[in-house]
Amino acid sequence: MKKSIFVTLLILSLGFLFSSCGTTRIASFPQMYDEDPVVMLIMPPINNSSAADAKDYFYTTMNVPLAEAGYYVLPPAVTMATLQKESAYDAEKFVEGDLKKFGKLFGADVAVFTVIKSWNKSLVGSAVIIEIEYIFRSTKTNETLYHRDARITCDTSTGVGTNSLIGSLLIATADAIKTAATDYVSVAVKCNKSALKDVPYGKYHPKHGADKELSAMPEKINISASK
Amino acid sequence: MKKTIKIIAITMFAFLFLSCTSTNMYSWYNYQEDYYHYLKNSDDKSLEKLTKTYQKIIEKQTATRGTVPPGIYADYGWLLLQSGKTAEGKAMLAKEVELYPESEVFVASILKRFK
Repeated sequence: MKKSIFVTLLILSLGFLFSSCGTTRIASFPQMYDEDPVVMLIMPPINNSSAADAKDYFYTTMNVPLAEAGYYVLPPAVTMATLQKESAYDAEKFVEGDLKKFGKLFGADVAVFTVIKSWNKSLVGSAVIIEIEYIFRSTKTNETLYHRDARITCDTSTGVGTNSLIGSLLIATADAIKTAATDYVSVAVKCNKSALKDVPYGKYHPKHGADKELSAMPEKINISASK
Repeated sequence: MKKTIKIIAITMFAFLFLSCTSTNMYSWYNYQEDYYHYLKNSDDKSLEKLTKTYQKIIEKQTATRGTVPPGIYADYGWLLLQSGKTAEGKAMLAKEVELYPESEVFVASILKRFK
């Protein structure tokens, strides 16, 4: 009995390790290590979804995961005011353009673009399905240093289980109401945290420069993030 | 043989458990929600809430770095400058540069606007 538990644990651990070790960060994002950027400028998200507020949800939640990854992230509130003043609020104009002026004006090494492609609430139940692209471009070379194309299903359910049909229907209704009133800021937080967890560590992270062999996710991902 | 399997299994499980545990470098409190509500509404209530959160972040850092996260002194200083608290605002911006020297280019451009 004991032996079977340990063998199961071993198989599970090995399976998890192999499934999470598709490729390394140095292989996936070599230019992040070559340029070793320090200062990140969060650009206002490009919102192609039907959710009008999605732009603000994502703008206000981008600096935390990048600061936690060890970067100096430019202060978002005064940065936004400056971008508006400089007529640079519409990031669409710059996502493929020359970024050198942002290096000069803000001292930024990287401009972080997000393109929200869709934001859909499930009709029954409690999921929000978001398609989003993250593009980190160098203000020195205009090259893309990091790219992630993500489809994220964010579960916002009540988390209460039931075995009866009526119980399931009641919970489905409660979840639908809850989803409608959900604080979508936390949905954006979960999305960013899940989709950007393999960003190479920056200057202020204790593992800066020592994470090259850590696993990286594929460029295109389809993941679940629970609240 | 049995013992070896047991040791390998325990070691790998412990490794996985440790590698899955994330530790925050900074204490953010309710920053993301408060900043969203301020960006969305820009009213006195949301400003007051965000200001209190900035103060808490500055005064109470319990995460691993034990220091104020990037951008907080600068954003708080900018809000103070806008409300006419020039000396306090400038002091906050100076702290941002002291803590994060790479912020100097941008902070200098902010200060120019309030000369």
